[in-house]
Amino acid sequence: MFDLGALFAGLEMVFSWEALLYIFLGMAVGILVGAIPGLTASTGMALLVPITFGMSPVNALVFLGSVYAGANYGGSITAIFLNTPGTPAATITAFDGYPMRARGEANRALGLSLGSSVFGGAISYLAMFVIMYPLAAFAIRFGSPELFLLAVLGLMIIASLKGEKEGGFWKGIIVGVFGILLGTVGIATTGAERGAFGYPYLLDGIPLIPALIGFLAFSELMVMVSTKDHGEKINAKQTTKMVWKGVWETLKYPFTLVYTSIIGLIVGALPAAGATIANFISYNEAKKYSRNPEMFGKGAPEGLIASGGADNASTGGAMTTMLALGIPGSESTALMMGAMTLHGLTPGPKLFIEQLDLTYAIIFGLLIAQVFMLFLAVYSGNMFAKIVNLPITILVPCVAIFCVVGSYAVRNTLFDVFFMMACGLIGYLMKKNDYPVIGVVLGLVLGPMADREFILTSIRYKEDYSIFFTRPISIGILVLIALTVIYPLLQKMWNKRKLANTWVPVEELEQSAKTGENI
Amino acid sequence: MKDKWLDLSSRLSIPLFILAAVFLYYLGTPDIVDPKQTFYLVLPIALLIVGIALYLFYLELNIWRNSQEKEQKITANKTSVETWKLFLETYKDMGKLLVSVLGYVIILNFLSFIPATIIFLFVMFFLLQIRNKIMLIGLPIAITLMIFIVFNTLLNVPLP
Repeated sequence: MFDLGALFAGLEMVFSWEALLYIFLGMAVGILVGAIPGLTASTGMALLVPITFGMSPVNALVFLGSVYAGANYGGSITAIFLNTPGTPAATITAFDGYPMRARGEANRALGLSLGSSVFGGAISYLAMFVIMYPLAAFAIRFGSPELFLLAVLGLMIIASLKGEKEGGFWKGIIVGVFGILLGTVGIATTGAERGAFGYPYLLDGIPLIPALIGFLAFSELMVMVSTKDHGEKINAKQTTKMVWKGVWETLKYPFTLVYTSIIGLIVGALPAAGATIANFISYNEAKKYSRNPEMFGKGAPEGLIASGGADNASTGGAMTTMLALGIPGSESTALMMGAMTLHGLTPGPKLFIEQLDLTYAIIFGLLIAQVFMLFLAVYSGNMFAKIVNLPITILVPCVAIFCVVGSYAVRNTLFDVFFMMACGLIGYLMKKNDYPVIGVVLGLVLGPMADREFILTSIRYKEDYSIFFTRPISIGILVLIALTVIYPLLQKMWNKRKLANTWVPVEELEQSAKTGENI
Repeated sequence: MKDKWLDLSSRLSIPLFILAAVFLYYLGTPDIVDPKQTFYLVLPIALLIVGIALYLFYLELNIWRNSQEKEQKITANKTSVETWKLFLETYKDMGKLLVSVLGYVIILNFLSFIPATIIFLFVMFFLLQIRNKIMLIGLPIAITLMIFIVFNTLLNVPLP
């Protein structure tokens, strides 16, 4: 099951002073990025991918992985202190963190959130260590029809998950198609030129990193500036002793911790699901099994543990899908994929055959990152609070320079910078009109994969498309695709029926009509 | 009635942009389309223009709706020019950022990274209402040097 040689080689890679330094720096930057409202894990990673050019692949990936994990925790700092989640996933943390802070227990809340994040992360990376090799061994049997269907599955999930808002399903489809369109620009597998106008800068395809910087980071800057949301300031002081107490308190709820971490791991592994959905599900589950469900939303420790554990555990799930199958589970893992490609690595089962030691090194690196997170967050909390208080007037120009430098650094051409700006403007318009940017991002990453594998299937099987319905794994993936389409519809029908069957006493209805309160 | 138009224009504009992008994509694919045929050039441009027009129409109506909701005195009686003034006010800071970054990228072509970045930061801080002279002059120099040292010297990342 484990290749001991590769395992020790991986340990050797990650226990170099350079790798440890990058893990530490990545974690520090990640916590900061996550704590600044408006900057998410993916925004931070988009800005930081270009600075990994000079690093070795291991250092680059553990650095970005640490940023990813750190940002997921960082979001909870402002959620607790200001009731303003630093990242969308930290919304749930604010439910119980802020009431706790209002009771004067901010440090306890911070400790609970930190402890659950660290344990959730550790559980998910240990699970990743156990699951990943068998998963990759299974995935190695995938041929081009299966890989094509896997890419389609990733794209279908975008549409089904974004169907909550009005017109969300179609918005998801539209932006997904747009992403695929952009992703297939350049010279195709057949050698034909597509959508490039013969322009040399586009023949290699759309520059992925500048596009991601534009869609994720530059567009966010525009939103920050146009909303003029200069935010509140963190005034509270962090007490190390109290935070430690909160961390240890986490262990008093082992069931909630393990249970919600497993939910985070599983939901995180689903393409396009991510930490936010994992948090919502685990919070609801924790409330269901709690002895004090009435305390949820009023400062329940279990509520904080559920969100913190699931939040960080989802990173392990998303990384597993990305590394073993080559399918990004979130915007952040799409960026990790981009970074891996830049360093000459191809995520997917082949990575396990060719560079198993590197895969182990990434997992160990992420486990070490959890330890660094614990100490960094406890002992540098006050420093982070000061930096988070940096005014937007200073932050925005600095991040804009990062966007420009990052886009330029990939191919040393200003064309990429202009392209990044164009993507930023499109991303901004999309955000303003509630179009999910993740659709374009996943379309950009999965589109070329779907395109390549479809062409290869056509060539290999002489345009006999019945191959998709005759191979057992293909059929399995087709069933999953069908489920992703049917499940939201069934859920909608089920909810409607449940609502219709809800019996409300006439007295209650009359009372509600008088007071105007919802039942 | 205006609400109906608002929803329709917002729903149509973005899909029209995407459709224009699809046609542009085909236009850039020599195996499928002969670019000499003007029809293929006219169609995406026409779609883009209609999309932009609809989007601007949506923005104007949206501003009108918001002003009505807030019960301000800017209503349908106000002229279109005044509504657009309000629109420009709303998007002023975003426009400043976009124009400044565009200007920054253009001057990067002529000046090297350090002077261009110092000028950009100075302009941006000024536009974002920083008036403290020490911060206006000192911060751009300090930040530029820090970025230069971290990217160029420590991380070997090429700078424009």
